[in-house]
Amino acid sequence: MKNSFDNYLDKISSIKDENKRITYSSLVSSLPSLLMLKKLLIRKNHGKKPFDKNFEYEKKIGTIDETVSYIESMLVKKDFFDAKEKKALNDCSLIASLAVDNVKMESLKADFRWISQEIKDISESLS
Amino acid sequence: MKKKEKDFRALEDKDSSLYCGSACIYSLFPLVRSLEKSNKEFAEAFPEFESLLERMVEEDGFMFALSMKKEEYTTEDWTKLIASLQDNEKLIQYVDNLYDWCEVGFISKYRNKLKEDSLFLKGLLQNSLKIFYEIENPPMKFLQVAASCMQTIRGALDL
Repeated sequence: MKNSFDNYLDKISSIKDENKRITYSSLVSSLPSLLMLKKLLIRKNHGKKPFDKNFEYEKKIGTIDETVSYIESMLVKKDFFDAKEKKALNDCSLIASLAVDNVKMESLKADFRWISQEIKDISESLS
Repeated sequence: MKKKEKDFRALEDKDSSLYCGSACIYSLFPLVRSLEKSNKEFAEAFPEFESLLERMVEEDGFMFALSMKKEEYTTEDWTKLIASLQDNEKLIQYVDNLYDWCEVGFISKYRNKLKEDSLFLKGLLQNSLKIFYEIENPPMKFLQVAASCMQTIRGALDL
């Protein structure tokens, strides 16, 4: 199976075990937030007030890219969940949380807060 | 069902018109597919949920663009805005009802996410309404739909 959001959705319907289906669908559900987190960080860093050096922007973008790639590589496998995915999601949740403290615009803070909590909630639900 | 891959990848494109609202909408597709499989009554309880999400990805971009528009709104603008607001309200009601639906069993794992999504979607809609309320000479239908949206937002916040 190739990597595509449509394929992931199709696979959800084919998983008979409910607990596994919920884990799989939750992993797929984390991807839009991860992609949006990357986009918002890039836009902020390309804007008038980029992140402070201490924020380690490049490293954080690398972490998000690795997380998305790893989850997508796992979603096409039979055993699609492992502890590494959970840890990677927690790391990305923390990145979004740190971003909240590094932006001033209230609407952008709300976006990062939602992403952070969303990814954390999904990570905690995985088993 | 529409193919979703193109817009899904556009979520990370810094120049695309998709923002956090779209990411939230996209994150719900997997849950809908999963719950359809879990319970045959799901489709009856939440008719055309996936179609609603598909429409809303487009409407999210439209509402953002309209909120930036400096020229006078056309009749078509108002008509599309009213339809988009009604879909927004319906989505919030669906997500709140889905939270209740997922009370028991493995599907309860979705609950925390759904609660966050509900609060986030309500905040986005409330902010949009603030902007559209400032537009002069709105049609009566807009005022009625906007008031209904506010009621849905407030009702849910009371939870």
